[in-house]
Amino acid sequence: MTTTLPELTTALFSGEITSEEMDTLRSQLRGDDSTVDEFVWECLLADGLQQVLSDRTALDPAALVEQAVESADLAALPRVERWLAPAWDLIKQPLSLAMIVSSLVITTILLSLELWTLPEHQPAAVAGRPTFVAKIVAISFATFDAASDGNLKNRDLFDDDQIVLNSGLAVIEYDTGARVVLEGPATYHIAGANGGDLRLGKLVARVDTAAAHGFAVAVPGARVVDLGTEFGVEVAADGQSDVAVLTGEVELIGANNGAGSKQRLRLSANEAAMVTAGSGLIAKQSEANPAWMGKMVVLQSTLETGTKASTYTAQTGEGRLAAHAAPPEVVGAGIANLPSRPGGEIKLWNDIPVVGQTFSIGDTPLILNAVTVHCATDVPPTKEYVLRVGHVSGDNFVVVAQRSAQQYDSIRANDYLTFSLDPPVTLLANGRYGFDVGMVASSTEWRDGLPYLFRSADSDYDGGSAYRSGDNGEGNSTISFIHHDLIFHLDLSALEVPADDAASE
Amino acid sequence: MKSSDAKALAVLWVKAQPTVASFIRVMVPDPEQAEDVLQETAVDCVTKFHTYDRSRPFDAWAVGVARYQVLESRRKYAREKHVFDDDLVDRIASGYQRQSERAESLRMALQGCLREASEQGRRALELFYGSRRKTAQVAVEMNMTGDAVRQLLSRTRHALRRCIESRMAAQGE
Repeated sequence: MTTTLPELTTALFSGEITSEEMDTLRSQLRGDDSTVDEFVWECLLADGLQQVLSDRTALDPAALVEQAVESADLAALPRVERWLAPAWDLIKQPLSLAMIVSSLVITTILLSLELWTLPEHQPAAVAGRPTFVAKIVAISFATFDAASDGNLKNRDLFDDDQIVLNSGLAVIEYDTGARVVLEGPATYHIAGANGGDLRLGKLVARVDTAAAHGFAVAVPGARVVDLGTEFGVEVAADGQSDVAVLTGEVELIGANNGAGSKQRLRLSANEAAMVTAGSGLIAKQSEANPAWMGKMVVLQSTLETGTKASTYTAQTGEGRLAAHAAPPEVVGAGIANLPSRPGGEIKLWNDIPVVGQTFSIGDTPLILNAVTVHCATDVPPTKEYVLRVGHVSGDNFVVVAQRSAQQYDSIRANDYLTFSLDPPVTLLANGRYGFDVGMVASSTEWRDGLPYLFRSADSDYDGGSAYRSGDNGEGNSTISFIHHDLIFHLDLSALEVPADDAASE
Repeated sequence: MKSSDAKALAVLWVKAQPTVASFIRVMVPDPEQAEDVLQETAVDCVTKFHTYDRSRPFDAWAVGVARYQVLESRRKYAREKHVFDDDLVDRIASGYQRQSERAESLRMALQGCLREASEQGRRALELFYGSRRKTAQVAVEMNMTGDAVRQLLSRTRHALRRCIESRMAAQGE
């Protein structure tokens, strides 16, 4: 049996530790602080070896903390913060038959007595003048459609505004106090001062102010009217909707059935119903589908923890392309492979894979400002290129940033082509990265001139290798290494702690 | 969160994450759970950042936040068998806090020292730590006995440690 601390730590890390050895380790760790420090030192060494020698990419700290800041901002919203606990409680508690029966009985009696008068949707807009009704108060990895792209956080919403959320989350707060968490892909239409139309996707709404009482969400074929509650709604692509109540009650009001009356159905906590788009037929379900309710809870829990349900979206945007007769100077933290003589050429065109180069970052994180490659040929305009920067692990490539850039002027043979990254990209210490260039479009024929990039004669850059990826000028998540290196230059600068600019805010 | 705080935290976190992640990985053997705990620790660091005393080491503070998240995760995954009890979690967290200042130097020195390792020793380290092979698998791949692999790993790790400590001593650590 192993008894020394280094050996026990090694066995612990490899998962080969026996229960006897584990007892020995625990016993030793109950000794003095120096034994614990020794153990921690061994753990740091073992963990460092695993990280340095493994191809697996650790969680990106820069992306992680960015997500954490966004999710913490979301969680700081006072009402939203309180959503999770009751929802979890609901999920954990099986719905009792007595509860269903009693709620059905009470609902039926109340409906028959017509004790509740439901406020109908009243448009808030004044003719010719939009009325402010809500605001997007938080977003998390949200991407919106082209028409409304950009950071819409704090954007005012007016009656009749439409939000097309392609991915991520957006929290909308109405002036009445009602809140809606929308998860993309979703299409949501602001309808009046206290409601909206969900045409696609899912949302969770919370209504806990008197002013918001009667908040209504229309789905194809019906309206969900809040009676002081939290509820979830999902509209599928075929228009069918699912509605479930997390806490409180809602009333579903179906479309006119042709006989002058509307189908009405009350739902209490953990009850659910399905709405058929065309007929507006509302069918109550015996209990909410646990998997579907789970999705709603994930939506809520995302607000709490921020990172589980949302997808990290790589930075995308417009880049700038400039050609120079001489290579950039290698200064500061810059990395370059600029041999005195090129060893060959690699073609770019929109029917072949992209061309790239992996590289390594040392012991400190850096900022990548620009990427330069060496062009071997005369290239007439106009062309569109895409530059990708990503993490590399084995032959796996995960995009961190992507820029498209247009070539409007002629490029001459031997020019150095610099793609500027604005905003720049943070690269982590001891990380393996890659950049690649693809040509996705050209206004001229290949016969008129096509871009070739210079490569070195051999694999003479120690920190990485050239590669190809994807097809048709577009890279994908797999790279194939080439036994050469591109001729390249990376404009890198140190990541520095900024001066406290609180005073300027 | 103010943008100046967010930027300062981002820089501090990038440096601290390896140490925090190491502590979590030791405490939470399941890799996916460990990643969850790390993510939750990051969120917690953001929300509690206003309580962080900037005159003190951030890494040690973040390990303290992680300690809380490790204990929290045990309540969530109560059925999981724990490697260490709460008392040992506290003791080991304190150890990480004491060592946090030196952890970055260790990682920096490690890269250089690995280059000095013997070819055979480095191969064993790559298989054992990099490819997460068991000792018996390393033995098969290197055509050695299990005991010989254990001795080789032990010697190589010992040499690495001497190298790291001498590099750190040279830098005044």
